[in-house]
Amino acid sequence: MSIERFPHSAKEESFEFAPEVRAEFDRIVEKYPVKRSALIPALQLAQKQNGYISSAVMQHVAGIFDISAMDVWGVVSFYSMLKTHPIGEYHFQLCSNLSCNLLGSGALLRRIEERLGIRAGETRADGKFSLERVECLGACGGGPCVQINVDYFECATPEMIDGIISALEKGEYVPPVGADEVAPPPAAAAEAAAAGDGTANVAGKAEG
Amino acid sequence: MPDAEITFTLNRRKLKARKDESVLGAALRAGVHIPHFCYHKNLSVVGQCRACLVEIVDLGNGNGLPKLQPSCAMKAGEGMVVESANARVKEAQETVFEFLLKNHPLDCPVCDQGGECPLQDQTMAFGKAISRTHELRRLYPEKEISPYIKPQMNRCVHCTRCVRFSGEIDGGGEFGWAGRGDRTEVGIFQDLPLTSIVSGNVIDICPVGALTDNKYRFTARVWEMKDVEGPCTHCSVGCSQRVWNRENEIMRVTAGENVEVNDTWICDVARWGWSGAGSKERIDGPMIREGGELRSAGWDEALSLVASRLDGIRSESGGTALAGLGGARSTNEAAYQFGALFRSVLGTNNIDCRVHPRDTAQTEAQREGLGAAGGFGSLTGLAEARAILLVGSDPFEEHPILALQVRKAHRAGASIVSLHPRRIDLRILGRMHHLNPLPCEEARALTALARTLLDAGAAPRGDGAGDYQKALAGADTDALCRESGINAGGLAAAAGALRPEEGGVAVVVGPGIGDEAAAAEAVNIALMLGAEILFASGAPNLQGALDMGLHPGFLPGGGDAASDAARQAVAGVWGREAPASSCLGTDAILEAAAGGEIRGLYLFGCDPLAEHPNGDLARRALDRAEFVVVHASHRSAGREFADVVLPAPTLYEEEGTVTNMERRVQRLRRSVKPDGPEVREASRVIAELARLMERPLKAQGAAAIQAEVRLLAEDYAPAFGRMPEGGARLGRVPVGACRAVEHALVSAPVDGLQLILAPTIWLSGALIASAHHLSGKPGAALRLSPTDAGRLGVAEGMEVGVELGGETIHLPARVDESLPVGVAQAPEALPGALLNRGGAVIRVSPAEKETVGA
Amino acid sequence: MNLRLDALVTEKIVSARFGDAGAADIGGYEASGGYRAIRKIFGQTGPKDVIEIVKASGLRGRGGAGFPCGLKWSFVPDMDGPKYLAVNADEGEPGTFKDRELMLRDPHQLIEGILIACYAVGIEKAYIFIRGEFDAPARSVNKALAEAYEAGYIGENILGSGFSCDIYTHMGAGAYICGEETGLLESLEGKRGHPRLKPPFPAIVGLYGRPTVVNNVETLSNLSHIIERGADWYAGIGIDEKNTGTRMYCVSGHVEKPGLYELPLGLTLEEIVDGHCGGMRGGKALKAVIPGGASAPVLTTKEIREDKIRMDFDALARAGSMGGSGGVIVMDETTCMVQAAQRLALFYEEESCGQCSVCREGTGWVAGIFSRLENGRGVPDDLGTLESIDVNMRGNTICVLSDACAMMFGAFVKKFRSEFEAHIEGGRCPLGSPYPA
Ligand SMILES: Cc1cc2nc3c(=O)[nH]c(=O)nc-3n(C[C@H](O)[C@H](O)[C@H](O)COP(=O)(O)O)c2cc1C
Ligand code: SF4
Ligand code: FES
Repeated sequence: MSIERFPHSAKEESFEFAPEVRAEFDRIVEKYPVKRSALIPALQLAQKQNGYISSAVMQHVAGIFDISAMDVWGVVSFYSMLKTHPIGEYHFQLCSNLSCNLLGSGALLRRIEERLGIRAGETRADGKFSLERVECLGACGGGPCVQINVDYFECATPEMIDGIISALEKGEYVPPVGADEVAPPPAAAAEAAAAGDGTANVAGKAEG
Repeated sequence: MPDAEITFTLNRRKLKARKDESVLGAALRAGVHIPHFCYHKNLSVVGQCRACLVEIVDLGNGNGLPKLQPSCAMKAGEGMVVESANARVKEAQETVFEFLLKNHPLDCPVCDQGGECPLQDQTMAFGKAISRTHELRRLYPEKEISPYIKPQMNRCVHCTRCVRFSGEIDGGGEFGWAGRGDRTEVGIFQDLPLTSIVSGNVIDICPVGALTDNKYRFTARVWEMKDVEGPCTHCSVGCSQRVWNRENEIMRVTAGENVEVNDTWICDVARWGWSGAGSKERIDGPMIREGGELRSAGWDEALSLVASRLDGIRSESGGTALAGLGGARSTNEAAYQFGALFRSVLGTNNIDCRVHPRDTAQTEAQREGLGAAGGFGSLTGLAEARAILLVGSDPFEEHPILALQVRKAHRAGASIVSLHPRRIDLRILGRMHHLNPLPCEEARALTALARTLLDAGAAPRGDGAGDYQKALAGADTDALCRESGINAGGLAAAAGALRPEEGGVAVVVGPGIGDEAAAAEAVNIALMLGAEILFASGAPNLQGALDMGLHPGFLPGGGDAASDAARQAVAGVWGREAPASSCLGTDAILEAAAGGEIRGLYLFGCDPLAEHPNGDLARRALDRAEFVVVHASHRSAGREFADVVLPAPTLYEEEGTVTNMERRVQRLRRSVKPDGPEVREASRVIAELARLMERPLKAQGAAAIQAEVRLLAEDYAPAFGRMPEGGARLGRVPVGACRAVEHALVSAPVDGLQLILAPTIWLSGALIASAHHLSGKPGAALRLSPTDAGRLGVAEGMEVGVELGGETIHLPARVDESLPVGVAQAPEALPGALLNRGGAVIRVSPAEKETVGA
Repeated sequence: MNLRLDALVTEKIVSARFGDAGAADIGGYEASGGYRAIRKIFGQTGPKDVIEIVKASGLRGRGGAGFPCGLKWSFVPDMDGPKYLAVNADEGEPGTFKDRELMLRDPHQLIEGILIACYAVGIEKAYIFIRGEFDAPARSVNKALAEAYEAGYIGENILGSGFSCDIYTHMGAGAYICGEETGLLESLEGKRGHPRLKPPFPAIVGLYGRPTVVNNVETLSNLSHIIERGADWYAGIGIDEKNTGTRMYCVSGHVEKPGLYELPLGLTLEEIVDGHCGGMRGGKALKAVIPGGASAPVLTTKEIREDKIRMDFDALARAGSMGGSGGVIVMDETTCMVQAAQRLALFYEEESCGQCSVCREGTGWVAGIFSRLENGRGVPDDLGTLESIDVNMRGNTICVLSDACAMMFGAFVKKFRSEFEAHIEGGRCPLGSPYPA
């Protein structure tokens, strides 16, 4: 069992919100009657700007909220999406929970590890890829599911992953079907359903 | 409040519970043990450990609850029927212990908590003996958190008491928990040092051996030690502490309990300051100066010399050529004898326990405004106040447990107003107002506040009320704000927070107040608000020493030395006349000594050289005085002027009583015998001097002294009778009288930085200075605002030269956002006393780097 | 009890617009009848009456506990000062993926539901707590919120009714326990998502210490339809008066057509698997089904095929399982039950918040035992130990994650005991760990 280390930075580093990020933060704070509610949004913004949440980020954020750095670290370390170590430009999260597992996420994991040359929990030396095994992504009907950055790739097969990784290595990114549209047009949905990608097997529609 | 009590049944026994009290709380008070880890009576209830599960057979309405309930979170209700020991509950409790032991190392034989570990004890009592675990135990990486606290987190049971202490009581939130699930780990943020001054309490409250006392570790087992509970004497709060000793050696100090003073908390100075009692700086035998050098001497020789020289000066020049200083760091009994020696044996009123002029300024304001020395507030009153006004008080630095009481009030909803040159840090958010006057400008700022309160409906009280009101009405708030440097908007907000119409205010005057005008104005405000007022003095037993008569104008019990009747009363008890002549206070005594009029000086547990802000005057006084007696437990700078040195015990080694800032008299019990056979009880040494002068003191020994005190200071009678546990607080009704104050001239704008001197409990006195256990705490530094630091090219930690009056000393710099621009802060009582002048203008520059030869 | 079977109409309610072009846009939503429900009640029907309608509809919470929605609302005290609605869109229960689609494909339906709930309870601020990974659904909801603000459906004095309401989204940061309603509130307050001691319940002391309603996305998505078509209409769908309306069944695992199926409450599990989902994948035999998300005790072939268990709240409860979140995980004969249980045990170990001794240590212990068992290092005592841990992890903690874990593995051990014994005796997984993690 691995226990995440308490933050410890050997080197001097500093962090401050970029002006436009700070402005966005100021807008977010407005949503809440109590400032502390904006803590996790602030950390999410900081992570976006800095790539991960360093000790300096936590100390800076602690200052903004007038709370202790430990308090911030307590929050950061509670949430799996808040990262205390740099992750890759493309961050793969492979669902390893039961539904995806039954549909072959184990084999998929090994394929990704092989292709990327890293193990789950690691970041490739060039900083381009990182891989993580995660719990249920909430896309079980389309298992196995891989999330790459914010996009969900469902009904993933080793071949599909091969294609994606090859494209990413070349700097091309093909988002999954429908990722940019809010809802796929009915034809696409039906098609997808027919193709068995599970995204739209809503009763009635899928049955024709 | 008996009407607020309810009755419920626990294990077929009827118990009483207070309103809103939990089943567990009521059970523990009644002596019924229910296992528990996360519950602590002074922390919030979280119900996380699940060890205290009980069955609610009947809620009091005929219905029970199907699930077992955590008794810590279950309020006792009228008619409730609870089982905490039936088979079902026992089974659940055993379960919890089994779960807790799942990852707990079985290292009891080498664990410091052994013998006082609820997990060990309760497992024996409740848990299953055999382990069914086949998995590896959880291992956390080893890490350091402080020189004082040794973490062994593998033993942690995640009760989070330390986390809650740190967030709720201390307020710094330095302890926390990270991770989740079975990877949850308790600790501190590793990139920042642990700065809390009350950090050691986590050791006491950790139910297992996860947070242990690094200084005590491996030195003793609990069953080998005896503990003595009594007041701590490092500051004037007087927290209850337990001093643990083995074979006449102090092994550790832990918190005692006094709900009216410190709940169950003590500061780190109390916890580790005792190490000074056994330090090399101890004076371990009498010494006599001979040929310019101090040499060891026997008691007989030393005492005879003191007696003959003091008595000689008296017969040559009269008692007025003698003076005694000190006594605020001794027991009431020794202080009383010291006063009696000077007044009745040596025939002088030149006696003063107020070595620092701020104590003089404050007592004079008390005398004028309140009719006696001391305030009339209480720590409980403070904790229950609706609003608190802190004047020249920086509690975390000066009286850490006072800070916890202020924080307690704040947690309960109180607003806090601080009037201090620095933005003091109480680790609170919201409902805190800062008025930051320039150094030495507190009086004007307070007048502005008084005026604002008057406008808000507060009414002056007492004899001079009309005059005072007239004077206030003439005050120009804007001008006062401008001159004192406080913000007018902030002033209005602060006055609003005090809400004179609602009452429930408490005023604390701290050691930061050095002039009488400011102290008097604080008294005026307290009277106008109908507020309790506490004087948080720097010296631990200042109040007791004043009550015992260590004040030139006050006789024991507070009688006026100028009053014939009062003197006669004292004379009746002493069997000897009390002098009418010469009532010099510390400053006048030092001046007189420097001028040659005072020939003999007796310094009892004090050192004006280190403590008085005018170090130069102190030096001249000691230098010029023909005969100087230093009677103290530890070496300090003044010793170089001593003709005779007499060793004194520390208060760990004395019996008697002490009186805290709220006039609570507490019994001090000897924890260990004095270090070294030559150290004698201070009151006996003083009595012996009187005997050698052939005018013996009537009272010999603590009981006789107390009997005498009771005759003179009637209010001490209950305390000296059957003293209640936790001590007896002597209440007082103020003879309140507001009176207009005169402000000093407006000071000219300064070129340079204005210095404030901060009293710090770290650096208060020779005993603490020599406490090697405390060496890990931050040392003396010059603090200045980021703006000034930037302007002067000074960075954090850099050595700076501080120039004052042509002399320069070197200190590390601390960049501190709490300081206003133009103001720097150094700790009081720095070695050399060069900087001991508050309000002085200093020049700061980065120190020249010494070039080390290649 | 088959009286009402004729009422099991296969009509879609919350997913009716799923295939429609532009359903997620305000224009499309309005065109298909959207925002008519709020026009019908705002300023016309008293808030108390709305609560009564929802009570009468029989709508039960779709988030997990199946608590009657109207009843929950009626617990909120009538008092001055702010009250809040927290929309539970954390969707973390393994096997569940419906709220994601509801937000992605019909966000205005959710918004209208939120407005109805807020109107009924007198709430002026709602936060939609969206699971952090759900980027596309969040974008969809944010876009819809902007449109609805623009159109005057949200904000000050909505439709001139005098009722004002603001709705915000708040992204989670990755923690299953934030789906538990009080863990959600803690997280929304910017803290670690530790579930709170109850009582007090959120309806009395919730977000920022104020009365708060927590409702699931699907629950809320039903509201506009109930208002528009009436409580009786809704109550007429489903097997009985306690199990009304439809559910979004999230079917995953070894079926031919995994996916999201909106079906009336009361179909049998067999009907769903064999009928709607096209049967078992590759014609393999059915072995077990988890009927309501990971925490719902697993059902055996016998229970499904012979006892014909129905998928409504009460029938499942009677069978010792639960409807939970609607996540149906189907396992065929190739599945190793020890491995399946291990997979889920690791999930609970990962996701326990860690505050209760019993859960923190228990989930870890259980995961450790299952891992040993699956890896062939089990010992005969293990099953007895598991059985006692099962008992000990129930009913003794702050929230029911601990119970959920126990319910999960308890059912596996009880119903598939021989498989566990085979692992211990053989010192290996008899099926060769078919689905390695
Ligand atoms: C451990 C745990 C996780 C939960 N996760 C979710 C969840 O992801 N989404 C959800 O809607 N409800 C979840 N719930 C149920 C909620 O606590 C709550 O009952 C629900 O949001 C209430 O909404 P409803 O009445 O509309 O169903 C969870 C409960 C527990 C104990
Ligand atoms: S039962 Fe588990 S998840 Fe729930 S509060 Fe307790 S430790 Fe946290
Ligand atoms: S003492 Fe009650 S749960 Fe810990």
